[in-house]
Amino acid sequence: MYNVYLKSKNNSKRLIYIYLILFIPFIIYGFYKNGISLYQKDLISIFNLFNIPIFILFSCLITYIFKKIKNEEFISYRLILNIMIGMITFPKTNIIIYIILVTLLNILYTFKKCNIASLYMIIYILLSIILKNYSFLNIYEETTLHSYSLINILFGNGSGGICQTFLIYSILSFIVLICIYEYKKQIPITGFIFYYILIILYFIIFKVFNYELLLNNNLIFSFIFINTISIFTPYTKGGNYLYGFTLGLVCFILSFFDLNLGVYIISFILSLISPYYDKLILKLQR
Amino acid sequence: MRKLIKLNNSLNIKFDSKINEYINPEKLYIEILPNFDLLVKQNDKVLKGDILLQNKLNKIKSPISGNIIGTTIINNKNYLVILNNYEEKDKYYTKKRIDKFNKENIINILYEYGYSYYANIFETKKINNLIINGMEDEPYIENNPFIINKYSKEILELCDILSNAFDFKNSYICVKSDDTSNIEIYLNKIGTYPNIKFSLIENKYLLANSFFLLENMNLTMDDSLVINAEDAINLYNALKNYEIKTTKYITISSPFLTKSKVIQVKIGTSLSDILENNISIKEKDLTYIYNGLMTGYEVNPKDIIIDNNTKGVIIIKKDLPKEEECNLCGMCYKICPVKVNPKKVMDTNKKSKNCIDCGLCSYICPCKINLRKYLRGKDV
Repeated sequence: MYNVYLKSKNNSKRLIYIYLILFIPFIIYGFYKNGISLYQKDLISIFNLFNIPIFILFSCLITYIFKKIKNEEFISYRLILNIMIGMITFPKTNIIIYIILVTLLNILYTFKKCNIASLYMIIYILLSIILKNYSFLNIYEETTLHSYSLINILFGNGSGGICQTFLIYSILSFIVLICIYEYKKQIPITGFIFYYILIILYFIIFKVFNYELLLNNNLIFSFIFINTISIFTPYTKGGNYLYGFTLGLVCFILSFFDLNLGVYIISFILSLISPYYDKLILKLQR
Repeated sequence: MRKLIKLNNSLNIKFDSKINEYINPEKLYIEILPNFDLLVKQNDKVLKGDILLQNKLNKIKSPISGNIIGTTIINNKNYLVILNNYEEKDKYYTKKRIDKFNKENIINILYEYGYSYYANIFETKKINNLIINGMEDEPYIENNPFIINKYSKEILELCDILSNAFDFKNSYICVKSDDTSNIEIYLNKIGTYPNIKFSLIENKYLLANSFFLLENMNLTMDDSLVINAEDAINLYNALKNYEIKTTKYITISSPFLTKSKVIQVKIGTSLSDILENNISIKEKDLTYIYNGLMTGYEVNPKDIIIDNNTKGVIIIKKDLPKEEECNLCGMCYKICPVKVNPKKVMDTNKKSKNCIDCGLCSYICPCKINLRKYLRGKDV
């Protein structure tokens, strides 16, 4: 049988390890902002203080359980997706609902590999809308009046998932990831370019300004981390550009309705149809 | 410019500094090819250079003098077996002294001594650029660099002869930019030949391949000729010493050898014979990779007879990493120098006609998938 007996140092897990390392400051900041800080203000109980470590540990536990059942690797895309769910979930997430949803989604992932992080957010947002509990603000942000400047938003005071609001660190992580060969940088770069061109044109033409549309933590985190997971994205360069273009354009359109829900809906849909982007590009190249 | 990469040479292999010789084997094996007439029979005595097989286009000559002791089957191929009498007697060839190396004389000699490929090119094509390739693509195969090192005087002389006879505009000697030994030798000698240029080529995989080398040097295949160092020394021996090609340079390398070797052997020698008489390895359960880790394949040394296509054998412990499921990284598609889509070939099982079997897709894959299996087929 033909084989190649010399292999490069490339490792399929390298990018996963980098993602995990980059997540640590997000988790630490989220634990401070939505845990320690609120506990010090007597706004949450000691049990709720440890919500974030519980979410992250449960994510690791469910990954470990499925590793044992399905004989998979522990360091895998399943782990990344589960940890991301723990990071992007609402600040006031109910632990029971979280555990049930994550377990069900992991069972789904076993049968059909799909972007369960985006799917989790779609389901949880819809549930919150039905239960009239839809808010990315924590207890302190809901009960006090505040007016955040650009610096405040960059350094974590914006609204977003429980460990997602450290915006300046998201940008720094993006700069680090661009330098990684395996990272599909064409997707977020194209996505950001199209989204921001359209949103700025909208601001100029209609003379409006909205920080939430410009510096949306869900959008930025999703573009950088969720929409660049290798197994849910095209493998051709052209496919990645097309994916990024679609992502940016549709996010702009959905920003007129609900950008937070919209970004996860389009992320999930694109993760399912990404093979067709490759087929289209390969057809055009013939 | 095509994007090529440097390979990761992680095996600890050190080479002996000189070319070794094993040119007196006890027996030689000459393959009895289909559509060739066998001109000898058992018990015939043959001289070095005697025609053993021929058809309308080619003649296969004996590399040694000896006796035909019969035929044998090795690896489902029929071989003529010659027992060496160690006399090295040559068949008589025209050894009329040639006063001048002009076009006509050179072409005639090349035809007579079995180099019809080059004779035909010189006869029919207008060559402006001659490139002597002193490089090897396959890691741990060092034939050309060693030859161009040992025979530097002869190769420069050949370049000069051909350049004067055929009016080449440019002649180049190419070595890798990290081949310090050859750089030192040629920088000292190249001054004597002002019409020959010394070219340093980046140590990247596939730049020793004629097509990619010419592209890298901004030359075209239409008016350029690339001659490997091994062919160059054989051409020199034909022109100056009236010698037919009877030997081959092969590399035996292994991390389990104190010093790996480049060995000059007779064409037709059994590989197991060469290994028994030239190396000593105590390790067990080793794998023999024929002709390189990137484009070669596993063999049993008893099944291999040295021929014109043999480059060498690398002896390693087979320790291939576990294959994982494809993660759609797209690296195989990005790295392919001829833009084949290995992922598509793997999914559809339709082989690509353009694949040059360089092995880069399998090399670069982070999931360690053996893409070469799909591109070339499962059977050797």
